[in-house]
Amino acid sequence: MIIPESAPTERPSNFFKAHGCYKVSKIKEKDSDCQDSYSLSTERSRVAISDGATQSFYSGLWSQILCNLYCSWPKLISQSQWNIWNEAARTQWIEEVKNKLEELKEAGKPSWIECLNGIKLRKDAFATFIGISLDDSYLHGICIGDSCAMLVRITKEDPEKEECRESASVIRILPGLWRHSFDSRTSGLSSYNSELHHLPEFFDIPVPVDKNNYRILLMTDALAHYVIDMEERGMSVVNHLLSLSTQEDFARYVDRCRETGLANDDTTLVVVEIVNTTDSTPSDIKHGDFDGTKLPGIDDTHMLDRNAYDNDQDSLIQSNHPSLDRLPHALPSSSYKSTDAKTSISDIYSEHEPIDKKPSSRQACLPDFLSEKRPEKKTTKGEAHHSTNFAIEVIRQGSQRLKDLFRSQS
Amino acid sequence: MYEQQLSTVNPGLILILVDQSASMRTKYADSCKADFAALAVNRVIGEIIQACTAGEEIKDRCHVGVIGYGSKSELLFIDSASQLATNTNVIDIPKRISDGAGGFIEVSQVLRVFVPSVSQGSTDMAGAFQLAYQGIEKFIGHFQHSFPPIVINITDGEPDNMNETKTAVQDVQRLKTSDGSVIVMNAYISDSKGLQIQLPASSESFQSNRYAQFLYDISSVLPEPILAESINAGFDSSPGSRGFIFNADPDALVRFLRFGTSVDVALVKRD
Repeated sequence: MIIPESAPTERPSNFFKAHGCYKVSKIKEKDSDCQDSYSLSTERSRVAISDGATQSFYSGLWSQILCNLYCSWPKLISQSQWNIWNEAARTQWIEEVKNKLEELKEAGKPSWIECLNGIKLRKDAFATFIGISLDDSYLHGICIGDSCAMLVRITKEDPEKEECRESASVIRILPGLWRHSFDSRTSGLSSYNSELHHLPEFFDIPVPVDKNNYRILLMTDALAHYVIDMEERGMSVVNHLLSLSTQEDFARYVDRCRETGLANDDTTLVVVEIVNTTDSTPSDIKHGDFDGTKLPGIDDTHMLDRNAYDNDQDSLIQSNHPSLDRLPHALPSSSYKSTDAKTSISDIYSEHEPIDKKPSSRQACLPDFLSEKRPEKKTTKGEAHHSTNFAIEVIRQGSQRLKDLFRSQS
Repeated sequence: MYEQQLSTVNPGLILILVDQSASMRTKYADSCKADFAALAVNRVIGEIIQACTAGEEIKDRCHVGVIGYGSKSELLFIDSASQLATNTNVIDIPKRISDGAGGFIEVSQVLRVFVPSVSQGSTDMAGAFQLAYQGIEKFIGHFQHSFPPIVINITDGEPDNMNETKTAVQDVQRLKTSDGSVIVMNAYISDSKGLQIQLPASSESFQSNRYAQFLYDISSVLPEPILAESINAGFDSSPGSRGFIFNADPDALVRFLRFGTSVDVALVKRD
């Protein structure tokens, strides 16, 4: 891996806590077939997810390299760092694919021919990507394609009481240009400089002043579309996403969602909690649990090259290795309670009424300054696209107002 | 219908019938029809295996069979992608690829050889379709909910018996999975500069050509999802188009084969 020696390293920081990392593969596919990846570094306050295109060449490996390299890069990946970082990712990918070829040949696996031909014919891997980096004042992001992040605010119903119900609402979808459309071809990062390769969107938004009340949810496209659709219908699922605590919970939840509109696709969710630095407890994740220490059954080739980071005490959680899928993905930092303690994950659909019968709960789930702009109008299926665009526009406008609000508060 | 995604539970089947009669010795491209047809079939089988490869694993999302026919018909093989991949009979062939800077470079590609170049005897096309019937019937017995099998027949001459062939094809077309009936596609290859026909929706323009009319008649009308794929593949097709090309030059044959063998693979949702 090429890391510029001159690149100044960031001071380690802890601006978020990991809340949960989950992923499931498509129906009828094995866990190891999942081409989604995620990576998370609490000490660098970075998190990334990536969705590898199933039909491309070693896309799972590519998506994992992108995530790992984003979270372990010694410097914030700004536009000036982009080309260096991207080239390093490509170099690492081709090196690892060549290593795979040797392994396949040694093991006598027939797919060595496909691997060799792929290398010779310069077949590329393709993946969407979103990476978020947090510092004291800003949330810095890079995004390519239709993976997305949502900034979620947690509101206590009675702030005076310590034990009270909380409600979560999406206040911002990142990046701002994220498109809510299944039909359009998504952009993404290619492991070669082909026509499929696109440049990323960089964004920086101010971190809310009341940091402890926010979560960031990163998700791949299928779940993102589903979450927004449900928001549109006034049946927000964000509270339930935040109440998940195990990989098994998530897998069961995804199964149920697939019966009600979630597309059959690899599905990944990572939840982090924004914290005040004084409150942060990086020991929430034990060092060495995930940070490059060889876990049972994990080959060295799947792990990030840690040599460059020997001096770092970085907590790096990474995914997309078959054996990792068997590990618990949820992290022991959750203190979140679902808004309805009586409602279990398996029950959530029983409370969802058809859209035309249930009064919209959007007024309740969006902050006032967002909901006040929404016209009182029932959404029909045919209007979904327009209303989604409208919702995104409302969220954009709302987030601008939110930004102004933060400024005025500070 | 015609929407089942390929999976190891519901794999697809592509059955290729290759004319190996004596007339296949005639010049075609840089060699002869038999050489070119064998190379083209070996290449598309390689592409099918590639499409079934996920990382290090070759998934049995598709089965492939080849029937060769001359004076007699013979099932050369019918197997799953992972089994086909164990074929150790390989050759290096050159391939031109983009150099990424507007030019081309030639690289060598490893190709598994499944089908030999053979050209002798007459044209037992009816026997080939009868063998196809047996193979497909057995496949459907195991995979009733799969995308319907696709049969691609590559030929350069009239069959020994047109009526028998027509009956055998109709039998094949009656076979179906829960996702639709078997699709039969025909490619008549020729180096002549005669009228080239690709996925026609009617036989009006070649009614006088008895053999073209025959192949048109025994080719399936492309169902909607496959018709859409043909348009994506660059064919000038329209509703009612049949899986048939006539007087196909080498480029047209390769294009047709790629389209026919990637139809069900293309229907796998890409993400």
